[in-house]
Formats: sequence, structure tokens, C-alpha cells
Amino acid sequence: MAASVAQDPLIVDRLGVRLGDFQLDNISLHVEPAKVTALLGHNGAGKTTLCRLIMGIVRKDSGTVSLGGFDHWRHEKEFKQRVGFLQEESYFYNGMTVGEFVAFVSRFYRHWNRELSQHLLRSFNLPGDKKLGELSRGSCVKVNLVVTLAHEPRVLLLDEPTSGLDPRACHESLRLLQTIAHEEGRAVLFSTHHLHEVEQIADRVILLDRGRVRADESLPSLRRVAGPSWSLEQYYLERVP
Amino acid sequence: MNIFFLIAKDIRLQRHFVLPLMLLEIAAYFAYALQVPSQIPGVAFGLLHGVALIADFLICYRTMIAEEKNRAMMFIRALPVSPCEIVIAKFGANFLLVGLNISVLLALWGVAHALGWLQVDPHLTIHLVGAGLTYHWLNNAFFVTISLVFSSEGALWVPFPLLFVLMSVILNFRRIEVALNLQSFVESLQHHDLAFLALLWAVIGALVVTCSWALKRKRVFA
Repeated sequence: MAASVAQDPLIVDRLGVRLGDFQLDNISLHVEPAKVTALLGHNGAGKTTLCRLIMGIVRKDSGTVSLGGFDHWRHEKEFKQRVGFLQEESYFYNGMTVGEFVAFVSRFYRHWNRELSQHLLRSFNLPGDKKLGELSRGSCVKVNLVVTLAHEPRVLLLDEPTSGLDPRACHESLRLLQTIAHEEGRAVLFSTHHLHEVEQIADRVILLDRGRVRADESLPSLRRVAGPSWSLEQYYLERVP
Repeated sequence: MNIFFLIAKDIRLQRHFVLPLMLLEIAAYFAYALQVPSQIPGVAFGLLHGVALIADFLICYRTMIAEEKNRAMMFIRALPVSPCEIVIAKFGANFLLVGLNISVLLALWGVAHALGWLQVDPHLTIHLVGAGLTYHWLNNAFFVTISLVFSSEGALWVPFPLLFVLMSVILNFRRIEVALNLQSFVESLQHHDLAFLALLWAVIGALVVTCSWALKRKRVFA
């Protein structure tokens, strides 16, 4: 893994979009370096839409997203060089082998770490010669993790990264994200609807409900203020009815 | 370089498709020719382009379905690649495959002609090959534009009104020419083949620009 790097936060300012009946309303947040931020919400709360809007994959109606002075819309390529995005579904070319796919993705990034990609492929037990279409859902998530991490992005944007992983892989992936944030100083934003994942690794939690941010708090300070009786589940249910 | 990598990806994914496609076209060509042997001298060259027209569509279908089947466009859009590069690469890959297909077909046709198997005009000239390629690239560009701009469902229905408009323009061309006072312009195009080809290329360019604009603004990817 790479050494710690000084970084700017990912700044989301009044981001909004209307998609049919659903509206994501003036979302503002900072994703701080060296911290794991959890985006928590029900199914359909707008987590995936928010991630896609941040990446500029879906066109926004309003607001800005920037990282180190690079706007996600005007400086699209520079922005995406610095952000690793893991999508909830694995959108791959099923005819490619794992090795071909990793080689294909590596060509688009200036700072691709070949050793890291090889190390991750080995540690996830991913066979390089197997076709992507023949992999299980969990293995596809692992391939996705490899290509998301191997270009050593400043910010990691992960949409339900543990979806489809077995318990061991899930545990290892969460630990890896924590290491990437705390030891390498990168910013991690991951969306989930599993409270235990948030409690396990997050430093900060953002509650999203029906396209609106209901809370944006530091977990250690919440625990400190409320004392040992504090529970994330109760906090979540109070704010997200 | 991104464009080159994306084109290489498409060519790699379609590498097993090109040879069967060409064999199928040649088989279809001779199957048609055997059914109307007496008319072949008059329709041989047109029939070749007719068969290749189906290939223009199939090549587009194959390269687009590779993206749509697993919604891979969502993945490509997350890479540090601009919509303009994605579109140019998609057109580039299609044009390479269409160019390869037409070149091989025309070469085979030329060989057959030279060996005396096809006693028909026209002789292959560089102008004829250039015009044939441009015609097929334009057809293919039309299909690629529809599939990039619209979803699969839209792409199924959109060609019909467009083809209706196109057919109507062709049927009423003389009247349109007079109404818009285009006689001198059309006459000059008839006398300047290269100007006409440039016009077709301008249409292709306009389709590429339209796709880039649409892809950046798209909200739902098939």
C-alpha cells in the first residue's frame, strides 16, 4: 500500500436532481480525508443516485462537486483520476477474462499500481484467466474492488461495497477500507443499509432519507455525548421514520 | 490514447464475429444471385451493397449490445474518459469493422470480376470504393447514433419515423429542390463528387457531435 498523502476533502454543495417522482434535494456534505464516512439509508433513499451524481454519471439539475479544485463536470477526467468508484452492480464485459479486464482498466489511469492490483487479485483468490461472466456475484464485487483501489484514488466512493460478499470477504473488505482511510489518509465514503458495518468502521455517518440528508454527525462525538447507552439503531430510527 | 484503448476493447470483443459475418454475407450474396441468375448483370453491384447494409446494422448491434448487455456503459462512464472520447471510440470501432467488412467484400468482388466470374460493370475504381465505404459508414453512423442517444426500446422505434421522413424527402426531392431554390447547389454537387462526399462526412460529423452532447446529458443508461 502507498504512503500517507495530504489531501483535500470532496466537497458536495447543494447537489440536486429530479428523476421522475424521486427528488434528491440540495445535498451538501464534505468527505474528509483520513476518515471513513458512511452514507446510511433505507432502500430507495437516494444513496446510489447520490453516488452517481457525484461521479457525474447522471446529469444533475443543480449544485457542484469538487475535489482539490477539480469540478466533477467541467474537469471530468481529472476528477475521475482522483476518485475510485465502486458501483453496487458489476457492470462488466462478460466476454473478458479477469486479467484482460484489469489490464483494460489500468490503461486509463496515470497512477495505476500494478503491484497492488496483482496483490489484491492474489489475496482475493481471483483467477486471472477466468471470464467475468463465469464469476459469482461476490467475485465480481472483488474484481470491482481491485480496479477501484489499484489506481490509488484520493477519494473512494463505494456503493454498497459488501453486497454479495461472504462474511469473511465482507470483514476483510471493511478492514481494508479502514486501513486505506486511517493509515493512508484517503477519504472513504461508502453507502450501506447495514448498521453493523457503520458501527464497525465509520468515523462519521450521514443519514439519507427520501432524497434528503437527515443527519451528518461524527460517530465518536455522538457516543461521547450520549454515553455508553447510545445505539446507532435507535439514533437511526428516531431520525429516519 | 483513451480513444485507442476503447476501440481496441471493441475490436477485441468482436474479433470472433467478423469472419462468420463475412462468410454469411458471401453465402447470402450467392444465394440471392442463384435465385435471379438472368438479372445478375444489372443488380450484381447493388446486391453486394444491399447485403453489406445488413452487416452495417449487425456490426452496430454487436458493438452496442456488448455495452448494453451488462450495462457496461455505466462502468465506462465512471472511468476518466470524456463522453466525447467514448462516442468517437464507438464510431471508430464501428467504422473499422464496417471498413474491414466492405474492403474484403469489394476485394472478393474485384477478384471475381477479374477472373471473369462476374461479367458485369462497374469496374472497381478508387472513387467507387470511397463512395461505397462512405455510404456504409453513414448507414452505420445512423444506427450507432440511434442506439447511443436512445434506450433499447427507443432505438427500436426511432428509425421508422426517421426513415419515413427520409423516404418522403427522396420521393419529393424535385419539389423540395424547387421550393428551397436548391437547383444550383444540387447541380454543383452532381459535378463535384468530392464535395458530395464531404457533405456526407459533415452529416457523420454532426451525428458524432449529437451523440457526445446526448451522452453527457443522459440520465438513464441501458
